[in-house]
Amino acid sequence: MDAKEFKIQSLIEKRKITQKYEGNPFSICYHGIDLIIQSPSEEFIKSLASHLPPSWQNKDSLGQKIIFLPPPEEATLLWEDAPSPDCEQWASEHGHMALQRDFVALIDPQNIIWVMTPLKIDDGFFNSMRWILSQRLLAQNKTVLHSSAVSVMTDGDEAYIFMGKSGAGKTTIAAMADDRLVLGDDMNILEASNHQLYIEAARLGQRIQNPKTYEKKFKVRKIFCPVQDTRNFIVPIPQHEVGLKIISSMANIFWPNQDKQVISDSLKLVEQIKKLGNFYYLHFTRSKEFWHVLD
Amino acid sequence: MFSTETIYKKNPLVSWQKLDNQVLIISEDNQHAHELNEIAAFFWERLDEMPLKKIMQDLTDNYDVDDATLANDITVLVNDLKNKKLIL
Repeated sequence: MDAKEFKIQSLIEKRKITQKYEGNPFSICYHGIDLIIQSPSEEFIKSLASHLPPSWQNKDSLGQKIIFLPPPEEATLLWEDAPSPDCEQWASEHGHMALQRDFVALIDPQNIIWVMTPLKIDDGFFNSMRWILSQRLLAQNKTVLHSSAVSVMTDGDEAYIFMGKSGAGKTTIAAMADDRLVLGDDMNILEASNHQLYIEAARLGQRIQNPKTYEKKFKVRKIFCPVQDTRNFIVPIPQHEVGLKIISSMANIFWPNQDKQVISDSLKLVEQIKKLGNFYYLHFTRSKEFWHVLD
Repeated sequence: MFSTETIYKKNPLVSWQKLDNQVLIISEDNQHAHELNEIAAFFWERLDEMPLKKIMQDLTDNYDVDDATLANDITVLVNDLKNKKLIL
């Protein structure tokens, strides 16, 4: 066992002993994944309950147990020293470990997930939830997509997706949505189901959260990769680039040491998304005129 | 250049998936993705099983391509796949 594994393991063991986390388990169906969340902080559980749609809360749920513990200072030193913003994860004799910029986690041999992160509904919580959910969502043909999504009309059940790297214009486009509904401006859940792609806002941390879009799935009309330009127009993305575009927007999957089965399942989902989606480059001028060229 | 008798093998540590006529390959460290076009995907699917010579014959039987162009394209492709450690 290397020094880092030993440190994580001993910090979690110490926290288990000194923190009373057993009371008030909070059961929830989080984007379709049943979870039972516990924490020594009642305030954290209350904040979580108020942040998530009431219909997700399910007192009878039997789900994956996750225990959120407050980090001692030594834990923050661990992630501050992490070499990459990606999640570092590996198997150890104590279970599966993960370390990212604001959390450390262990899935122990009893399949309980221990997460140490600041106990606030903030980046550390969302990053750890993305790590926990992304792989589990694959079983439901879903992926967390780094994207913004905006409804086609002010009402209706169709949406456009805009995906691309940070700075490509996803948030800019969401901010120019006017009276169209913005699902998520950074993270959405894409689902391939019944010969149709669906998109829903991810409750996984982002600036724009519109209560009208909570829990609502929208049919995906078109998927765009924005390119800032001097004119507004769209062109189909060449077929041999589409798979790469999807992969580069799938959050929390393509990391070093990722389980090969997860990679394989993800690629199968990419195949379905590619078959079902209509993909275009959107050249746009950072003015609202671009909405007229989408169809 | 390399022998056309060689049987190249896919690196067993890479993940790949057929996407219509293309093939999407994820590198061993999961950090790089490569998408092969239709002809390269045809080539990829036949690795492990037959020598280069036979794959090239199958390609000329299935696609409208002259021998010189094919030989050049396959040389570039094999070198690229080897450099990226996608084939052994």
